[in-house]
Amino acid sequence: MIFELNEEQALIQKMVREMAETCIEPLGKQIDEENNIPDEIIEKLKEIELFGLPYPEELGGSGAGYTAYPPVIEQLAKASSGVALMMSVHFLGLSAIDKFGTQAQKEKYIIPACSGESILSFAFTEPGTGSDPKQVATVAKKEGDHYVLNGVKRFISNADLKGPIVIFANEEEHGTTAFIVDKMCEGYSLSEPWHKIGLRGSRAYDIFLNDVKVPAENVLGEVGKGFPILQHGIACGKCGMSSLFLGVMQASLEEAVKYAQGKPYRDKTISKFQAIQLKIADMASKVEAARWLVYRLGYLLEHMTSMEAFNRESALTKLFVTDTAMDVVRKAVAVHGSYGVMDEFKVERLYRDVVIGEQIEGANDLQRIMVCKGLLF
Amino acid sequence: MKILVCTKLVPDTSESDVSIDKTGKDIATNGLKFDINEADNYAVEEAILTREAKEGEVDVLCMAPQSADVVIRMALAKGCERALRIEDPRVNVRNPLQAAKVLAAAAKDQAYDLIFTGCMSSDDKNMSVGAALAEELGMNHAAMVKHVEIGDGKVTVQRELEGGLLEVSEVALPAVLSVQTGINTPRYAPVRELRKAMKKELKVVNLDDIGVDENQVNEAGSKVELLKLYYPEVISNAEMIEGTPEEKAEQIAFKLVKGGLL
Repeated sequence: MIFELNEEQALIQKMVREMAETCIEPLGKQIDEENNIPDEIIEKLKEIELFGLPYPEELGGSGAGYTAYPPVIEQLAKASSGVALMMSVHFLGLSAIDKFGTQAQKEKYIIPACSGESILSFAFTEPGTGSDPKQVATVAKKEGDHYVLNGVKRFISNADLKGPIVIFANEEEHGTTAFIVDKMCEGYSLSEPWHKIGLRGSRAYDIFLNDVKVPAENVLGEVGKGFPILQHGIACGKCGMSSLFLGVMQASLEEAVKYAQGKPYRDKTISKFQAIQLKIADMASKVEAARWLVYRLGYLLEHMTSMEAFNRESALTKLFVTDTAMDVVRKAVAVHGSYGVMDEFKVERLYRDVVIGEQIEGANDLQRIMVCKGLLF
Repeated sequence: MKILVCTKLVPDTSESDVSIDKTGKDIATNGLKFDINEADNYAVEEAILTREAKEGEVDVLCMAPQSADVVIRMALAKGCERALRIEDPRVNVRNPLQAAKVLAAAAKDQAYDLIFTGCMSSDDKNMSVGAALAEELGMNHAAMVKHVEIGDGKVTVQRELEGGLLEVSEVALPAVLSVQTGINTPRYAPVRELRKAMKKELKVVNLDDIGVDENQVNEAGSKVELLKLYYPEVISNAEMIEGTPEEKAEQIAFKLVKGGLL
């Protein structure tokens, strides 16, 4: 049992950390304030070949595998959770096509996505349902060699960025089906972006599907068998989200240490006081526990043997990491005292980011129920 | 064109407090992170830019323990072809002349046209390995290089002088160039190149492999003896300037002029 990244993964992590510290961190506050990721950051992510990180080189990917995924998202999230979220959602959509797509679909959609030419999205949630496929109200009607989609999807990230989106709809005869739809096609329109409390930069929209024509060859997997695709996608999404919140809490730990070592009180810095030291120690131990749970999830995603087992592991990881992140970032704010809630200090942004964790990619109570499967029922 | 770039592993002291170890002659390395010397990072980039402009190949040379491999692999990922790491605890790396002697021994048989080094290491700050390396190899040398233009059998360099002056010099090849930070914008290696770098040659040698007599490069053979490291006494010279902003500005300007700083 070896608890360390291998040399290649460590090298990738180092490169991404250096790039994020130099190119993203200085823009982190601006990204949050403007709720926009500047093009120069997208270009930099393309340049270092992150858009295809886990995918094989035959499909234009970087071939690093999913084990390298959490350390990369963690580093991006330390600088900007919005950038990390954009990448996580991109991989969520890509993972569905990679796992369930035909060779033709992979070549058509994965190759340009790996270069960053297109950025993926994934749309399941609707105004009336967050996690229950039986409640999907978006309908798909077969008409000749294509389907016609109508409905509304809610809180969809990357929905405004050029590229394909995996959309779940209720096919009139067979039930939940996944479709690959080109964003911005005829009949596809967006709401104004939601005003999120955190994870800003990556905008969330409602998508309106009004007689969207989708060729039959764009069905992902089989008609009526969308649920396993949804499960797989959401499980991958939890890996991305867990990595993101790991980065947020690591950033909050670093901010707390920096602040404690620089903040004078009487004749010394507050880092010399045990009340502060105890908080920092708690934060560090929790971050480290979360890190290895997340890194393990990346490994399991790459070496998945059972979807059911992975669903459970992704649920317990996301549950632990997001609950823990809330606690860790709250302590970081406490170390800062009143300054911690001022937007001049980074922990204020991190605190707004972290409160979304318990809700995103399936509420934590749902994760608890998933973890109990096999234990209690 | 055969190019070599020399890199050094240095402690990253930007986020950590530095303390002196029990010997009193070195810093405690526990808890410190090590990374490529900042100026050497620019040297790597300049070497690769030169190769891209003029073809040829770039080797990277580093005298460090195995922990430097990540830094060396990063240079390989950015475009260096081969790497040589010298690992030998007998070398007195604190003495720049001795360090240069070892580097020269590793480089001498390769007939390099151009060798890049950083202008200064951020830990010891001797600023002399580049010049000493040139001397050892009988090559020409230019320091504080801010711009490089390769010509036929020569290199035109801009060197940074005091007071914002730039000096333009022609240096006959082969030459050692010690580059200043800011000479270029170091690239980030893309993921696929990082992965390829894992398969590139990284050879590890010791003093015996490169034919260096340890007595010339060990601590006993050094003509400079490091006596101790110590923290300078903290003396409070702070003077609080009172008054309105205009009065404060006037007093500060007066002090700067009086002190010959303006």
